[in-house]
Amino acid sequence: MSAWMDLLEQLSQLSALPGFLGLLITASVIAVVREWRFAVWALLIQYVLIGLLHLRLLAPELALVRVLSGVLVCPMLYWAARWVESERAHKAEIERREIAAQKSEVPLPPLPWPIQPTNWGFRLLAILLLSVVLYSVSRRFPLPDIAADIAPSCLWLAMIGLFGLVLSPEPLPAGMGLLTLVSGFGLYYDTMSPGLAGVGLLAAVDLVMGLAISYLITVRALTGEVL
Amino acid sequence: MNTLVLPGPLFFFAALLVLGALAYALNRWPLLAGAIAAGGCLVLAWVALRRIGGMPLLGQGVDLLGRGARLSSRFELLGRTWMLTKSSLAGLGLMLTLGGLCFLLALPTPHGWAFYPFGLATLGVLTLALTAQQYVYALLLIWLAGCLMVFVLAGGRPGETTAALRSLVMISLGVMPLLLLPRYLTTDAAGYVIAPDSAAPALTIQAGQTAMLLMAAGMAILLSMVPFHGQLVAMGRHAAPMALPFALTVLPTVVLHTCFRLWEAHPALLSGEFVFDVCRWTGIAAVFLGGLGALGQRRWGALAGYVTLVDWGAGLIALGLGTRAGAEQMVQMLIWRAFSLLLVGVGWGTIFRATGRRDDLERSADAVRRHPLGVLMLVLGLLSLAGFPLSPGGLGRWPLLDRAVLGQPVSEWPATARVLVLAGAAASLGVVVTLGRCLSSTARSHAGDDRRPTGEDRAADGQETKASPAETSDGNQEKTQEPRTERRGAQGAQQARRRQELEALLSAGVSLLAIWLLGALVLAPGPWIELARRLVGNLAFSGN
Repeated sequence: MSAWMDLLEQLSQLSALPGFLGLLITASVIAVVREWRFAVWALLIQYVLIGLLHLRLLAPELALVRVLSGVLVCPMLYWAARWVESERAHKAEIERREIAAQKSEVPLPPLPWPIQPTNWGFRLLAILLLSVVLYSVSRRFPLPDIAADIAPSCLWLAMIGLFGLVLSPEPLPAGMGLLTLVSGFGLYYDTMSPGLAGVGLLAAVDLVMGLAISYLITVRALTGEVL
Repeated sequence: MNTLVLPGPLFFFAALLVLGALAYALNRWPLLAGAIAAGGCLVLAWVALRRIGGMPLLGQGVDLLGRGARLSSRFELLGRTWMLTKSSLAGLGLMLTLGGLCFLLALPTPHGWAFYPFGLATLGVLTLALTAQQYVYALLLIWLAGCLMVFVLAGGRPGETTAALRSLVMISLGVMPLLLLPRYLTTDAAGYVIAPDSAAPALTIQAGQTAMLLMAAGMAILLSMVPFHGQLVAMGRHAAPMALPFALTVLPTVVLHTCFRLWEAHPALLSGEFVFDVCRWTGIAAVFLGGLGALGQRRWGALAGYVTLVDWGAGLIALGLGTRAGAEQMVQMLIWRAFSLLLVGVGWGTIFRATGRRDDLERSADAVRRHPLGVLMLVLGLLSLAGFPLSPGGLGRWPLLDRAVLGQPVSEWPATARVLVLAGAAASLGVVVTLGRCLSSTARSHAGDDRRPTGEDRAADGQETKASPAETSDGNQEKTQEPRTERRGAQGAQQARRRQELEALLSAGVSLLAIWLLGALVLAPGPWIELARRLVGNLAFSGN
């Protein structure tokens, strides 16, 4: 047990810069990449990186609670998205066979996941623009009462989260945007020393939010027979 | 006899969770699950209201399996306190009564498996938020309840997730600035702002401005002020009929209670009238947008959303008066609105069910002819929300107008009164125009030979009542239907007719109950006004 605590203690001494660079990449992947598997993996890594930053601000046990609650959200999203994808693929295959039987020509299989309203190029450019905004904002309006090397991570996560929410009405990408935004806020909220009960409630919010987003992902795909 | 002392807040929370679990276990029998949810909620509301009225049911003790049981006011966990105060009991009584009525009146219409269990779980978490004596925990519990509300809002309308997603996003965005508020209210960052025995600290000018901005931002988002009103309209457009009154009643009650307790503990937050200006101007904007939007709608749900926005804005204008009477008026309007929305939910539910869960006017044209009582409920509820004279909505709005309007020529009415009257007239006109469109569609459908089958027709023919959007839009249902034997078809038709008759009976009963409730509210508003007064508590305004 003490070995674990020593490890956590050593991790809490790490500089925030590698964590911030990692968050730059993971949040960008969540916002830019259309393939949901990459996005969910990026979200998982993002929660671990945020956990390392939590170690700087919270007691190790509390930081671990935050990491665990975040990490548990990812399988919920994964199973929901996977179920929807397989259902869509199954329905599309049936339709394809029906069309092929009627018209004696086989249409191309449809995409299993709806196309996002913006293409990846647009989203990448927007991310680059947001990083410039982050640089400017963090220099001119620094967040109060938080270490200068952690503040950019909070701002970045909040900005990318809002960007994700604006981009799509679909529950999966918008939900991942919301979770990113909330994790950025959670990092900043650590400065208010929430205590065990506060961290516990925030973890409960994370978990129930993950569950709610997973439910929305499945409900969105249903057409009425199941409800 | 040994007396068992039950911690009051925990009792209400646990009872609601147990009811939720029971409703979930019975979700295959929605009528039974709904009856248990409604009955349980109303009984708990009765317990809370008896305690307010000085007749504590469990406070004096009751016999429980040969053992005395008593309900205590206080409950502590991890050093945090939850307490049944006069204001929290008023909020609890109000929330549980209205929640129970939503469950009861939702019985005839399918609202999805999650409506009752998650509705009860939401009420349970909100009970803890109402009774929390620490502001931060009240907010975190509101956030948690907002996440659970997603399940209530997304059920019953297959494929429709916009209202639930917007609601989740807005609650999350609204809670965040309010959670940061304590940093600017106390010298100790971990201090709690709602502590009955602590004096409110004086704010420095800069911290005070930041605190006011954070509070205004959080309140504006949580109370759906313009431009954050999208979730309110989306709920009307995309949520199931009775999810709208449920969401617009229980959550705002707790949010208002939390705001009032915050202002009670920190009156400095109300200095400078900034918050009231925000409420007043966003209220006027909401009334204006709602009136305008109500004029051009072609769907009942969207119309309900915009007409609700008019009433919502009027409530914000009342709060923006910056007086205690204004705050009480806002809570009273919340109650009148809840009853109007219940009426809308009952009427719309009837039409919604008859049209195979679609709410566009063309679809509902035939249902209007078949269900005049449902249409009457819907139109009465919408007119009440629009503030039509002598309706509950109109009576709720009247105190905002009487002093400014009575005995004055129109040219001398204040701008707020003019906007209120004009928007109310526009919203009422919108309701009448929509009904007219619906009736003209009915006439066209009678004149033409190409009448499409409604949800009820399909049910009577022994087919599925739950029509999918794809199924109803392309009209090629025959392709997907399996061939059936004649006997099975006859049996199915008989069962469907029986179910249809039961639903019609239940629907008529629920409609009559809704009318009776509305009549009781109009004829005897005293207890509700008293409840609103108690919810505001000891809050004092400098404008008084």
